[in-house]
This record gives sequence, C-alpha cells and structure tokens, in this order.
Amino acid sequence: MRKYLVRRVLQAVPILLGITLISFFIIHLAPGDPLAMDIEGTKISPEAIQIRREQMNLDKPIPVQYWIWIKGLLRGDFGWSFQDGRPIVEHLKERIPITLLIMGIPMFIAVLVSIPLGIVSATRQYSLADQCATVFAFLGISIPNFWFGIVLMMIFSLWLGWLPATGLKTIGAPFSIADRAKYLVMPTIVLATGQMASLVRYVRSSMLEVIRQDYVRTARAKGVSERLVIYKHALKNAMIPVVTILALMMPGLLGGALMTENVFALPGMGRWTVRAVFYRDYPAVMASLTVSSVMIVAFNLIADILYGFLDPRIKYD
Amino acid sequence: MERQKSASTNVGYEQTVEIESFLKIVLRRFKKNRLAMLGAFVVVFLYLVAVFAPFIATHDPNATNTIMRLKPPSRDNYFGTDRLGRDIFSRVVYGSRISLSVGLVAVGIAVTIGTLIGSVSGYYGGTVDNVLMRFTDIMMSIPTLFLVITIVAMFGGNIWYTMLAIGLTGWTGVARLVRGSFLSLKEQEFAEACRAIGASDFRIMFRHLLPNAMAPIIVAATLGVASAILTETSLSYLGLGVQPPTPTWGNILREGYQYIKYAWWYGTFPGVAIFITMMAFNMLGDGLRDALDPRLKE
Repeated sequence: MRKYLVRRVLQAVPILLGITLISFFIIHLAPGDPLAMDIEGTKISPEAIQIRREQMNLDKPIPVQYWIWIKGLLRGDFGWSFQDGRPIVEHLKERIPITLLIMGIPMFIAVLVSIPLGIVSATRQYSLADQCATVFAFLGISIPNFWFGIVLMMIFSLWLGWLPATGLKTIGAPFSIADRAKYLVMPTIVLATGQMASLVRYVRSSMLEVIRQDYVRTARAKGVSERLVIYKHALKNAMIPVVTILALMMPGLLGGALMTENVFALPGMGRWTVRAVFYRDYPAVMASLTVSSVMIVAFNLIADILYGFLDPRIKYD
Repeated sequence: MERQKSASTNVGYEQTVEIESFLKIVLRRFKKNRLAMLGAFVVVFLYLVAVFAPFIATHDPNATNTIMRLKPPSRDNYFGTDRLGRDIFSRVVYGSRISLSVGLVAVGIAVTIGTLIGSVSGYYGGTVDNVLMRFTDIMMSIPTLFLVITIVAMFGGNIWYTMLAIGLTGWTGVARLVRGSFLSLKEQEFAEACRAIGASDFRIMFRHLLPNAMAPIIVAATLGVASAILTETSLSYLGLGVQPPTPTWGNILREGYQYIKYAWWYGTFPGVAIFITMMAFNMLGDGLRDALDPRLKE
C-alpha cells in the first residue's frame, strides 16, 4: 500500500509539471501586456515602465521566466500579484479554504442524497419514484448554475427577504455558524443540485448493472433478506464506479464553484481568478491554474486509494 | 422452413441487410423514447430559430429606445425591454445564433482532435500511446472553465477564440473513448484481414475501425454540445467571450443581473433559453445512448 502510494505521488509529478508548462506558455504567448492597462492614458515615463517590467521579469525570454517561476514554486513561492503587490501565497491562504467549503458541503450533501435515491430508482425501475428521479436528474444537469443562482437570489433575497443575497458574512458581526450558514444556503443549493442530478444517474445505472449479476441472485437464492442483498452485497460493488465518477466530476464542480462565487460575490478562488484574468495578473492566473489542477490530481489520487478499500480484487504492489 | 428460404434468397445481400437493420433498430428504439424525441424536436426547432432569426425577431435587436427602458413583458415586447429599451425577445432570438454555433463548432473541433489522438494512440500503442495519453491526462487535470477563461481573456473575446478555446480543451473524453474502442477493435479478425490484404494504417484506422467506434462518439458529441453551450454562456456571463452589443444569452443575463432589483424579466428569459437548450441536448444525447447501446435488449 505504501509503495503504491509513493509510486502514484511520483507519477503525479510529471503531470503537474506538464500542467504548469502548458498554462505558462498559454498565458505568456498571448498578445498583450499586463502593463498596458496601467499605462493607458497616464504620463508614466518609458524608463519607469522599463524598470517595472524588469521587476516583473517580463523583459526576460519566456523559458527563463518559466524557470524563475518554477524555482519559486519549489520554495512555496508563487510570486507577487500584479494587482496589489501582495504575495500570491497570502491570497491563496485566504481563498482556498472558502472554495473548498463551497465545493465540499454540496459534494457531501449530493453523496448523502443521491445514493439512496439512486438505489430506489434502480430497485424499483420504471416506478413513479424512478421517473421522478429521472426528470429531476435531467432538470438538475441542464440548469445553468449561474442562472439558477440568480433566480434563487431573486426569490429568497429580493422577494421574500429571507436570505442575504451576496457575501460570506455579515460585516461587523461576530463569527457564528448560523450567520455563515445563512450566506451559504443558496450557493450550496445551486452546486448540490447539479452534483446530485448527475450522481443519481450514475448510482442508478451502476446499481442496475450490479443487481443483475449472478452473485446477487445467489445471495437471494440462499435466503438473504432483500434489504441485506441490496445494501450489503450489491451496494458495495455498485459504489466502485461511482467513486471514479466523483473524481471525474471534480473539474465541473470547480467550474461550478467559480460561477457560483461570482454570482454570490463569495471571496473564493473563482472570483479571484476571474479578476486576475481581467487584469492579466500573470502570477495570480498561474497560481490559480496550478492550485485548481493540484486539487483535481489530489482528488483522483484519493479516488484510487478508496478503490482499494471498496474492491478487494485490486491489489496494490 | 420459412427461415431457410428467406435466408437463401438473401445470399449476397447479407451485408447491406445487416447495416440497414441496425440503423432501423436504432431508429425504432429512439422513436419509442418520448423524452429523446422531444429533445430532438426542440434541437431542430432551436436551430430553425437561429437560422431564421431575422424573420422571428419582432424588433431590431440593437435598436435602442430610451422611452421604453426596462418595461415588463407586454404584447409588443414579449420578454420585456432592457436598460436601453431594446426588445429582449429579439435579443434572445439573435443570441441563439452565438450559443448554437459555438456549441456546434467547438464540439466539431473537440471531436476531431479527440478522434485523431485517440485512434493514433489506440492503434499504434507503445510509446506513441504513452506520450499521447500522458498529454491527455495533463489536459484532463486542468479544470476546463479555468483554462477556457484564461485563454479567452488572454487572446481576446470574440466568437472564434471562444469556439477554439472550448474546442481545444474539450477533446480529452473523446480521445479516451476512441482509444478504448481501438484497443479492442484492432485485435479483431476484420482488422487482421485488412492488414493481410495490405491496407495502409490510415485506411484501416479511418475506413474500417472508426465506423465501428462511432456510436459512443456520437453520444459524447451530443452531450458535449450541451456542456460547450454552458461554457460559452458562462464566459459571456463573466464578461469574457462575445462582447456586447452583439447579444448573447450570457451577456444579456449579465446585464440582467445588474438590474435584478428592478426587472425580473431581464435575466430570466435568456436563462430559460439556456436551460431549454441544455435540456434538449441532454435528452437527445441520453436517448441516443440508449438507442445505440447494443447490450440493451429490445
């Protein structure tokens, strides 16, 4: 197990290196200049601009810039934000936990709800409950998350006045979970709906495949109760592909978090990234792409490890 | 007795009969699926709206009218008017052109790249496969929306860059699918027969193996249109992507968000349009998957 873990982590290194290479060259090969926005219409002397450019390392060839960036990264240094001059690491420390919270709660709720729902859907195929779940899944997959957020905001904040529309906490109020929860209800509903909708479909089809197999029939034949057959024998095996799907859903969930943060003005990674691309804040954009990719790679790794617990046929060595 | 007779009369036509009947089976299964048929009709309807937008729109989508600012839906303005007094219905109708064409072209790019990479990878195997699949792994690990907004923001927000950005980031799933199919297809007897008669690799790959790998590609492409449209509208919503005054569903929604307190209709209708479009493509793709699945019984 440990050997396997070490190998998997080592395998992730070239992938992460590739991610940074591709991101870096896309950003730096693009036409335009991060300084152009600052200088436009101002009377800054060309010498001052040249000095600034040297400070930002923009005067050096792109491979050299990449080398400088990578060396910094190995020391845990993402450079300084072009927008406010603060170290990127400080920005990340504030924003990553918020994004993880915005992604984590809906993910947890989605798993909790969609597994029983998917099981009911599969065991009573074509029943009313199954059809309702199917319709719900189609609606949930198709609803654009940012629009859903706006509609919720219109109903619950503007018309009913039950929930605050934007932000993460009441300004000036002391920290309390109730206060935070009020602000997180709508973003959570938005992201959980999409997650649940796709998960239900996968749980259902995975379950349908499993309950048709011989060992399930054997379990029934030897007189195991239906409950045990479904929840003990079938469910465990049906969960194996679902774990993979959860990992595959991560990029979509990150994108969903980005949109949701922008709709509800939540100070997470997504909102920060959008501002960074508008300002051509190269170090911030690089940091955002790297960190979000690391999240995905890490999640895939976790899924692979979970596999071992769920499926004894897989041996790590 | 009957059977034997019909079989003997069909000698020599067996090949064509088989192919036709498979398509017929697929079509029959598809027609039985009411959700899928509904999806297909809506998709056709949406493309008709996009093509005939000038005839359907009731107003010039860019004609401003300061007296008519932010008016609710009425008999003259079905979806109300926006902050400049423009007719939202006409803007939504014209906006369909952007989303629907970006969806189609982006998926075209993605499927072409994915099919090329997947088939070369699966057919040749070995080092080529290893290199291409590691590249695919890398592309799969960068969250699509983050990468797309970066590309579009850095290179510029017009319709071509939007299509390219979505297409260039969306091919990984297809590449894996095609690779998987090719791995098993190339071992089969008909592929061996092709090699035996001296067919070129190119011919074997694209003439013989690819048609057998088409079903999952078609499904992935249809569902891909839905996600490409979601990405395009997300970009427009964020103010990247196609820029105003050209109406897109995303940028109307963005403006609507700023007037959320005064005009509920502003953001609602373009959102409904996106919702219906995504729904239609998802139902169509799902129906195609069921219809094309050879494991499903009649």
